[in-house]
Amino acid sequence: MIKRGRMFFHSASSTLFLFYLMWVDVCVAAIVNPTQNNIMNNQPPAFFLSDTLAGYSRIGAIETYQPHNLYEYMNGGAELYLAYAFEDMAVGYYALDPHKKSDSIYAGTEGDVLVEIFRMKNAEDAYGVYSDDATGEHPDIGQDACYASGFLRFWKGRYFVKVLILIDHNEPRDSILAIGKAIADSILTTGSRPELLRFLPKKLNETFPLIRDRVTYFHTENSLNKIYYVADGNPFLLNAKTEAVFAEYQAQPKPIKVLIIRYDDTRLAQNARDTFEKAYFSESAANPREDSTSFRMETLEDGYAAAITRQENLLIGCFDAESTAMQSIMKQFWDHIHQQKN
Amino acid sequence: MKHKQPVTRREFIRGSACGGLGVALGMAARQTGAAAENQSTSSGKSLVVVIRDEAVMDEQHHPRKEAVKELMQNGLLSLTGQKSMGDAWKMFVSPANSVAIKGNVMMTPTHPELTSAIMQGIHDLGVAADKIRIWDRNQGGIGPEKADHRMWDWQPGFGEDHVSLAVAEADVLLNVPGLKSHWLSGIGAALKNWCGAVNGINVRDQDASFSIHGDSCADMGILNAIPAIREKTRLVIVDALRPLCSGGPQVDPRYLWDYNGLVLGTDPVAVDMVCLKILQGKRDQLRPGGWPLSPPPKHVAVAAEKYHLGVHDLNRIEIRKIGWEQDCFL
Repeated sequence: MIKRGRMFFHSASSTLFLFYLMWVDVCVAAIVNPTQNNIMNNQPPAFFLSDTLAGYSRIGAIETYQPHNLYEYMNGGAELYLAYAFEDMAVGYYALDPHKKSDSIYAGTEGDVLVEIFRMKNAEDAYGVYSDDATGEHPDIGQDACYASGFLRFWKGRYFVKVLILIDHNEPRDSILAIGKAIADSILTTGSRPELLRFLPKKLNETFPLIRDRVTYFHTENSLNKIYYVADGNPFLLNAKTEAVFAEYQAQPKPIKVLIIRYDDTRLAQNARDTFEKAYFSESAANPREDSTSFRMETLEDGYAAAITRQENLLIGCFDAESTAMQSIMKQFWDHIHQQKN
Repeated sequence: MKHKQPVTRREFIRGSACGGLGVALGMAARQTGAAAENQSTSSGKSLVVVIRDEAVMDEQHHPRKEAVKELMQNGLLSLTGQKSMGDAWKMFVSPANSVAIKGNVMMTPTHPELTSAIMQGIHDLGVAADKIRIWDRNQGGIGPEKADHRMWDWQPGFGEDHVSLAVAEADVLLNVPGLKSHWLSGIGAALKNWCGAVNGINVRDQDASFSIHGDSCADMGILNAIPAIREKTRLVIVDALRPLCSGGPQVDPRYLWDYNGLVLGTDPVAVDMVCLKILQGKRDQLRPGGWPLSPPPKHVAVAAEKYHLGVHDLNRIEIRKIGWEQDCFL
């Protein structure tokens, strides 16, 4: 099979057919050989940018970027991906008519459609990048997908994929989703969602439902600051090894926000709790701290409460809830987490 | 900016962080006793003109060239108080000057229809075409016919001080950014646009020529305070025709919307304060209950307090609204 692929490569008669054969070769091998599963799981992002996708033809060469030069492609936007375990990415431009001059409305782009494929070191971080903003409708593409305004984002296995229409198009949805589905179908492996997601109850106090689009998995302070700025100076002592999930629960007039952080060890979690408490709560708060695991709550100047609590290496912060509901919310979280662990 | 205690969300709720920036972010306290810093003055207000036209964009969200030109001209006349465009431009430029326009070409760029109207206006004043330049980073164009960034063929280069030679070679600088949110600095508008006028910077500030990215880009004003930039910049025109209210600098069409406006002023801090209100207004509209810009754009207040680049107290800013009023957010 491999020889046949090479023959076609040397004859250069059909790049499209070559891609097809490569894909078939690897798929068949993956079924009969578990080792090949790792190969499928390790394909460079460019592998999925075939010459054609759902009737669109790739124009120009595929661009690839690694951590050291991602800034060259997206400047400050690179930090969003480097805050996760980013490995590499590939960029391809596609057009219905590859010979037509580009009408792209975005600077520095060409063609009708832009496809970006990011490979992360693990599936949890592919989900994490996706979850940065999952607003939109949720088509059945990859493991989770969101689509709005000609822009599709999805994740599958270790890959996070963006498909963006670059030209004026009255009905781009079908084309964009078709391209996304073609890519998703060629990624044969799936991956696990972060375990922390299981620690989120679907409803708080039997009243406030979890907002599906507002659950974000992340590691670093920069990511938290983008989602929900709490304070300068990294009071939660977040780093590349910490795992965190930020979620919003539907409430009026504004959602209740919950932050769960899992640290490497209990001591770091305790330090983080103390650092946050010192930075955020007034010294004269009504609930003096008895030990570093105790629940601490304070009603803020806008009338809503903030609270913090820790058990072992897990920290939970809650913001923008009514103070009367806060204690029961925290209790519900711990009950739910213990239930999930058991 | 050094703080003995970290700035927290609470300060923004109180409205006491960064000189009242929290109020601009829609985080004003419910309680009347928690008023923002409020030092009103009877004179010295910075004028910012916000001019909008409901019909300036077409159905495909493209600017209509003539409508943009008219919008820019009317905005400039209002800002200067002049009756003719020649007199308005003379407030900032003389025919003998060499003029460089700092545009923006990230994926939500300054619209070419706007840069074209500006470059043509300066040319009509009598400035020679080869003395009218536009650039971002190390790409640019010379002459009004190169207003569109897709036609740029000039590389200005950088000096030993890491500042673009376009700055050194110009008598007058005009700051013409596109309005966008920015996930590291909160907002990208007038103050942040000068990032594209220097080299040797990186997001992690490693061996950087200017360390501007730490603490949510709080020290961004250091670029505006570069003597040549501070002294030569005469005018700010922010392209708010179709801003981005979340997820920048990369384009995210979910958060682009037709605001159909321009924001004009000579005080970059005051202009950014007004732009903040516009972005915040749109975000609150999208997510009722409040969706504060995150991270908070500290660099705007720091630019005023540390670098004295302008006024950030909204009580000392006169916002002159002209034209289309719907969802103005001001």
